[in-house]
Amino acid sequence: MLADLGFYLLLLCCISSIYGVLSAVLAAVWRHRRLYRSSRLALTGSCVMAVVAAGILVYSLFQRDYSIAYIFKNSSNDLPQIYTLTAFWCSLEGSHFLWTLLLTVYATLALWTYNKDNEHIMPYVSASLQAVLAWMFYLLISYSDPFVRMFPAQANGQGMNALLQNPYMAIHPPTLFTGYTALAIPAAYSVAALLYGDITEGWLKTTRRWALYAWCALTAGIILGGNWAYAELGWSGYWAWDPVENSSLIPWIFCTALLHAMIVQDKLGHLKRLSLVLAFLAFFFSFFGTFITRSGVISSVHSFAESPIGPNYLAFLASMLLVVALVYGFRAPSILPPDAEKVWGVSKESALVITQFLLLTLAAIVCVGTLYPIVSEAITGERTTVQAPYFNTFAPWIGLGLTVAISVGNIMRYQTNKIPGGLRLLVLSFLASLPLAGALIYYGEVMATKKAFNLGAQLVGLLLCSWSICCLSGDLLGRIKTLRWNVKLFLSRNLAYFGGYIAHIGLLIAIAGFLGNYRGLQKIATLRSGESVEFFGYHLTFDKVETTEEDNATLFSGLINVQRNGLDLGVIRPARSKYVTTGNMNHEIGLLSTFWHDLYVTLSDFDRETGKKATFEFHINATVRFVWIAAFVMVFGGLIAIFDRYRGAKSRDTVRSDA
Amino acid sequence: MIYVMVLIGVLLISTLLTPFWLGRGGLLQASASINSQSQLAALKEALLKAYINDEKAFTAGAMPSRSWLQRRDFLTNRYIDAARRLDFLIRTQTASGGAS
Amino acid sequence: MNHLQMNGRILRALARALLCMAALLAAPGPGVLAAGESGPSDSNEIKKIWPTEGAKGELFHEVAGQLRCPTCTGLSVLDSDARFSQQIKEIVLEQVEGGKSQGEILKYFTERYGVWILRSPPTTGFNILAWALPIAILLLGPPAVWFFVWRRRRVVSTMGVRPASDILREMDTRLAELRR
Repeated sequence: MLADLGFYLLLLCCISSIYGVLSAVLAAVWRHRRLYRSSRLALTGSCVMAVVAAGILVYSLFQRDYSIAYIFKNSSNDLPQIYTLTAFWCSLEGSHFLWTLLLTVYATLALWTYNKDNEHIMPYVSASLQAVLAWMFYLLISYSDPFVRMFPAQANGQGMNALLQNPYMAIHPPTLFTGYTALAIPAAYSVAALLYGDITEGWLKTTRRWALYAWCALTAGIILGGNWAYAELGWSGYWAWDPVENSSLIPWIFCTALLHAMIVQDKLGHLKRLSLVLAFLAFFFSFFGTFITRSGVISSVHSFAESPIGPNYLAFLASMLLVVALVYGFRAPSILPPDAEKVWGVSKESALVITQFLLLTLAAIVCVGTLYPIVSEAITGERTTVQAPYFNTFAPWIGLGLTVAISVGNIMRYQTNKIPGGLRLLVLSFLASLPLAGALIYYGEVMATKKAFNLGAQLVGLLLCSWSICCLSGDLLGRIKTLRWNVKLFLSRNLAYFGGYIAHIGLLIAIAGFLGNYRGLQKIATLRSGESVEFFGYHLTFDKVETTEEDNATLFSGLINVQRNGLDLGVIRPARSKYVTTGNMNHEIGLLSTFWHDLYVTLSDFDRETGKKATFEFHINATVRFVWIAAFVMVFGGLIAIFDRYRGAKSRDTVRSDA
Repeated sequence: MIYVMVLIGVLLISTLLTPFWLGRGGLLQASASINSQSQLAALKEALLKAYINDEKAFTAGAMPSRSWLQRRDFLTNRYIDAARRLDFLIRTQTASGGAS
Repeated sequence: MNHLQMNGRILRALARALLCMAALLAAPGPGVLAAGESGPSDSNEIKKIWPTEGAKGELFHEVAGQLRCPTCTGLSVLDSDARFSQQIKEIVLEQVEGGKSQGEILKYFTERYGVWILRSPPTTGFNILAWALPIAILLLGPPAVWFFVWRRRRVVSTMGVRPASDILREMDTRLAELRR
């Protein structure tokens, strides 16, 4: 009964969104304030109803109402509380519902917190957002209906896929979806600016804030996904260049490029049209991953069943692309060109353009690699595979380019090829980077790389990373010095720069982390009870395999005592868990993490009868922790930058500053 | 249940219709969609007048300072938008011959 | 469902049957293939340990790292525990011990499974496009950027639109006039 109400609410949401589009379009054409407000209320109504419908689903999940097919397929009576909640979004219909819900909430937020300067483009923003929402609600009531009933209601559900029963399930999808949906706002503002015919004052400020918020959420979501793969899947890596991973990376790349284009737009008024295009593409590609996996075109760890949703998605994406392309074609020329005649020389803005080029090239390569198997099969009929080795041929070069661009770009200035104190900065930072790189190489034990892996590249890469970090820091110190070390004043005026500094340092930490991993340090050993093995300075003694019963799984843990240099470091338990309902055997990783490396142990096989003999795979993953730390640092930097009050409102401050 | 559904439907529709009798109507501020130079020039003058009036209200103490600052920035932005559009129109319309 | 997912399902079903597990549902999550799917062996036999040291170990490592695991997504046979991967690794080991070179072993597999078994497309025929495109973008990109962005230095015009600072000056002048 509640389920029927839930469905009805979603139906009303769809109708409300359609009304919202129509009234917003009329409001735009007639500049009619009442119609716009009605359109905004339509979106608010959708938001309220969507939230209530979501509440109904959550309630039904906890009530274990198996008459709802979605709940039957994704939960069971023995499912722990937290996973009962995450069952909301663990499969096709629910995940689409979460996505739509978040989009509705953020769209409503955007319409209510708009900058009064942008009042005249809000009807266009409302129309764009609600057009997308209308389609998403349409899917929710047709192909992707979470409230479909099944009778007679079973007594127990089918249970959740074991891989998804993980605390990460509570944060990775919502965070990532927040990123995707928040990108809708800059996209809507871009379409609005095109339809309206100009990028007005105040547009940049709002768009920048939303893009930063989306960027923070995407960075967090992507790295959380990597951490989950690392902790769960047992192959001791965290990024497999899987199609869905790639399609979460592409919007992130476009968002990063957008943020940098907006900097140039803010300072010089150039690259306005590029910002518009990037904002739209970032949002467009956020649907890309969902499309290629749900249409069954590519199978992936994230694959849900192939469903008729595929053609529908294709139709939507194609029409969205067509419409926006037409709008852009007709309206882009009226986007007024830059404030004053400017010239591109060797200067900061050129460095920013080079950064754009590198980022967009990376996006293009990831896209080509992900789509190539489909395209080649369609054209030649022959199946091909594109996996990590392909991407790892190109990505390091782009990473290298970005490392250099970050440091060089940051120390350059606008409109001039002179860098104040440039030579001194470069030399000093190089000297400072030597001990830093040395520390990284020594403590990260880079020299312990296997012959098959490129040692030279790692050394050079780490040196460049360190040099970049020192360059950035030197530039920051130089700027604070010109204000006579008045840090408070510096921060009050340069929060965006400081946030950018932290975010860049975060990225460089991540790059240093990437350079350290996968050096082929591993060992496979079969041990009897009491036997030990030496590996990378660790003394590992196998005790026995323990069998424990948990909520809904049986856990087979291999106990290993770890010692290093005579110090007892404790017991790690690489394990396999067997789930009752599905019978899958999954890895639980035995992990001993230090700052500089992880000891990563998996239980490959064991004697099921006595539990006294087992095969383990031991890996040393160096500098992995850097990547997780980098996530925090980057998000922190992004969040700081959001609070800058001066960006995007420059012209107001230079003349009309408060006396 | 059907009553709940009908009630919700009615609530939604009435919410959607409220702006048509509550609150102020009028036009959303616009300039980039205006294609007439005389209209833009008039808009600029109107903005200047509004600025002067608000400034008087502020100096007389009738408007709190925060409102005045927001109002001032808003009017300045509108003026800049209108002026830019006017510059653009003057250039493109005199180039193609004839203003409107 | 394509034929390889079918293979995966058959293998899993076999494993279950051998382990004499009754009353398990026939379908694990639809279409979900775990990246490291496997199960413990049904007898006391422990899995084989693959060589990691020495010339043979390195060759094995290299070759196995270039072949994809047919039943999982994104992994090489080297990283994967799946049964099919183990079988492939056996064959690779045999050939390495038999003194075959990397090229010969890879050729052996491509003949049997098609180009699909390689983790990245070979540089022959149509597949050269996969490599040519990124290289083209990387090489042709900078000149394109130079042409479309930098060369515009003389052509950039503002269509008569004044900078915001000029407009503000005009505004202040007019306001001063009106105030009088």
